[in-house]
Amino acid sequence: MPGVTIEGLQKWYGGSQVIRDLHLTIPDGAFVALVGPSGCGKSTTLRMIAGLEMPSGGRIYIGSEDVTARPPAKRGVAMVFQSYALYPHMTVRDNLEFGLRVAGAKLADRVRRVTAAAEMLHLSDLMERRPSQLSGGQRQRVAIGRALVREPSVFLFDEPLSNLDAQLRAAMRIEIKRLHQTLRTTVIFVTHDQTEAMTMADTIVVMRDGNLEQIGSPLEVFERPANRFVAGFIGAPSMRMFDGRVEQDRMVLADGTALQLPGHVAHLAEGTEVTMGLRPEDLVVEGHGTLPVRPCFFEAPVLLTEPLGNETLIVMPFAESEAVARMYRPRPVAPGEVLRFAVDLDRIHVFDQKSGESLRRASAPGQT
Amino acid sequence: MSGIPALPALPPRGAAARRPVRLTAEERAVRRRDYFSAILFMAPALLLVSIFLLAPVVYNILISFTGWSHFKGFNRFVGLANYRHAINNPDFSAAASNTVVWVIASLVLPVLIGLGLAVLLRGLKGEEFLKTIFFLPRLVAPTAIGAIWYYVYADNGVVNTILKQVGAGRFAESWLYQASTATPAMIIAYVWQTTGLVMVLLLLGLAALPRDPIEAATVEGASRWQIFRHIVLPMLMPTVLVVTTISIIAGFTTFDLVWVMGRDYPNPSSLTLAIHQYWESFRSGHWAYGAAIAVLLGGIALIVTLLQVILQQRVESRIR
Amino acid sequence: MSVAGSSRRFALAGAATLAVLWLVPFYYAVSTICKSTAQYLSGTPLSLPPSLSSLPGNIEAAWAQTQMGQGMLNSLGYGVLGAGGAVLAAASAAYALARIVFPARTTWFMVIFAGTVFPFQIYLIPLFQGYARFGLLNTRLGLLMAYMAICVPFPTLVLRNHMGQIPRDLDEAARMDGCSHFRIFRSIILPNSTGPLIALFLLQFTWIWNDLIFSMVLTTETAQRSVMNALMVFQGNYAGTTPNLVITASVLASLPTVAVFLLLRRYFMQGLSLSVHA
Repeated sequence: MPGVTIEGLQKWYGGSQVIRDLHLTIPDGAFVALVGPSGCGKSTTLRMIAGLEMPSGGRIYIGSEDVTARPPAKRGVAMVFQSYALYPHMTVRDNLEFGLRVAGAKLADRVRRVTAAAEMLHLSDLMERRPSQLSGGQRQRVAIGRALVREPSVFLFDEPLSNLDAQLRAAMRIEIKRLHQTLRTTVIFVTHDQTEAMTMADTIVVMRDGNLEQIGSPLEVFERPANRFVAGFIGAPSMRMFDGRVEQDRMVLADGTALQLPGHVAHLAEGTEVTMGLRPEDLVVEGHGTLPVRPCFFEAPVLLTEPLGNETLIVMPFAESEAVARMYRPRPVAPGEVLRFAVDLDRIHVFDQKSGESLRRASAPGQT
Repeated sequence: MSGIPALPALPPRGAAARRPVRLTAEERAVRRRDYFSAILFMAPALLLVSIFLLAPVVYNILISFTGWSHFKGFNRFVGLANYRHAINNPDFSAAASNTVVWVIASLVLPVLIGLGLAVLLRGLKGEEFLKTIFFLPRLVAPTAIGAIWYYVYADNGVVNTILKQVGAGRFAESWLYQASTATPAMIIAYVWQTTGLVMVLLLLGLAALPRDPIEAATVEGASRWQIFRHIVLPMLMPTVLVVTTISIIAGFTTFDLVWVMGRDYPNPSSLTLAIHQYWESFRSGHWAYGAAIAVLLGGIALIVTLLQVILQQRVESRIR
Repeated sequence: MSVAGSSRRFALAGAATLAVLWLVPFYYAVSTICKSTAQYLSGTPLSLPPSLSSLPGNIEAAWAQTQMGQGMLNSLGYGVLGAGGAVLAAASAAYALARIVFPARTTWFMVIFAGTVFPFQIYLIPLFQGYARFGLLNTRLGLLMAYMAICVPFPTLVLRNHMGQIPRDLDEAARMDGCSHFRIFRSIILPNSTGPLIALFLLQFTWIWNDLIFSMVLTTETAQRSVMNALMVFQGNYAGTTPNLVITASVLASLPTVAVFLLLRRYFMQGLSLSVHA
């Protein structure tokens, strides 16, 4: 039985449309990340699933029930807010218990659930404290605990990790994933950080301007982006784009550089205007990484280096623009030094220059 | 539950889509429920205010146009007769001129003294203690203060006794009963009472000022007086405005203190508009006339408040 | 802006002098209440009382002759119920104005706030006449309702501002927990507004306790009168003969508000700063 289904969801604010005809099916037990730039509508979508906002059109189903008209408390969902939204005047225990008390649950029930949640989140020692006496990470956990206690069918997270420092964020990511593995409840997780989305979710939903750009597993979204936007959004450092056109069996870029058309785009018609995308991973520095099966070599002077320790990012000019390569097991490199690079033709991405759609043969954009 | 309205065809992806606001049935239902809840929440306050405050205002304005006096003439419409009577009434003029003195004094004196005190006391040791001393009179009812100061000004009271002891006995007066001294004497009692409040409000305003501009000016070598005049005072303006408005309105509506200290009415030397209004309405039975005076007082209060709001905005936009 | 060095000493001296001057009337009052009528009339006003022996007698006489017990009881009722009811009504309205989205919110607020714009004179005649018509004249309920109504607008303003500052996602979390508006008001917003609520209650209580004019107009008998009204009546009748008693009565009538202030000064000051910023 599917976890959450959205049909034809729309949302208008004032005169502008924020969510356009969204269709989405989330299977039960999935960990879905809704990811996209600011203003893409991911939080709005989440809030509509939660029941905090009403859609202007479309239906929302949780399980098999149409919950579009139901208030939040009757949907079987629970939400963790970006700012945690803990009740400042209540103790941790009261914060956890509050929802249950409002629902009229019996004391034994409440105690059982609250104790269980507290244990799972290591909050048992903090039960009598107020939110103002807790650290950021502890408050996070109370917020999660409050959601846990409701034993919902769907967990909703609205950018919960943005207020934490990097170390804490990494730790909480693991906690949340572990929670999901234990409980196996559907999770919908909104974030603007694509790394977070990629590491935590088993399904990624990329949104832009109220539209669903692509839905798929992290690997799918990374290796087979449906369009230029998704390609550029997912993966860090991001993919570099180069305009060109198809001539016979090659792709000719802005400065005349020609690349043999690889198999997955060999079907393209003569004269097609395309954009080629190149990830740093797919540009190998000779001698510092496995050479691709079908390499295409070129030489270029180094413009900039970013040493990361285990690897160095090299920025070099390419086709009247710049490309980035990863140099594994690096040695010191000076700007201006000329290096030999190999392009992995099998892994380049090709998009239609105007529409941005992926031109990979037999690639379904992945929209449901 | 149906209710998904038929939507116009969607514009191409990426284009800015616009349409007039049309809500789903569910949205409308939620908004209706919210409106209803809001009204319920506001109901107690609304009921109290409409019945006991707003309706009376309307009623008062209406009465002021009738000839209501004692028991006759409730329904007799006389237009602006009451207002004309006010202008021609010598009692009214005496009260009005006294009230003007009150307003000016209650504006200037507490604000000046209060400002001076506020500046003096800032950061001083014992600030809290001194604040309490000056503020204490504010808590005592004007009635009680009037009763006490009545004896301060009595023939054998504190003031006269001190004067006699320093050899200035010929200045001893029947302070509250002489035309020239009655109002000033009462004003002193009033200032004694309210300066504390003005001072506290100004202190609060001073405390809220940002420190940086003042520190910058000190570094640039400005003298304390210059800093005060050109930096502190302008930034304090919003607070000063609020305090001024409160003082003005309090000044011309003050009743308790004057009533208790004045005692033998109608006494033109200490008459104020507030007393005059009360006397005419409730002792002489000139209801319509009393209502007219009340309307005049209300009008002045409105104008003053409006001026303050306008000035406030202008002052605040200048300090931004 | 602070004052430095020798000018600091000068300022301190100046302030201290002013403070002493300020205290003279207090001293006068306190010393007078300890004198019997004879002692007062025979000595000078500012002289120290010979002993404290007349104090209990003064208190007893003043209390009885002004019927202060009744007056204080009345004022206590007016103050607690009037201020309490007003602040609660204001909190309720402020919640709607600050947290619920509905049309013309500012207009509704203006309707409530319009009550404070006018000086009190404009309410006197209509309330008097209206009360006479409906049998509310000289009733405790009538005066109480008038006090309550007058004390509503200002707290509404202050509380609306305060509640507007409370983060909105608390409401949303509460909605996820299944709260109705009323539950949110009761369990979330009110508990997070205790500071302003208490401060406003104190301010309004003091105002009601100190009021004279409304009691004068709307009540005619001792049984319903406020304490200040009782004091005024007493002073009107007995001023010439027993100043020490009048002053004793004044001091007695003022003790409650002064005591409340001294005990709860923090809340009072908070109430004042709320007033300025509103």
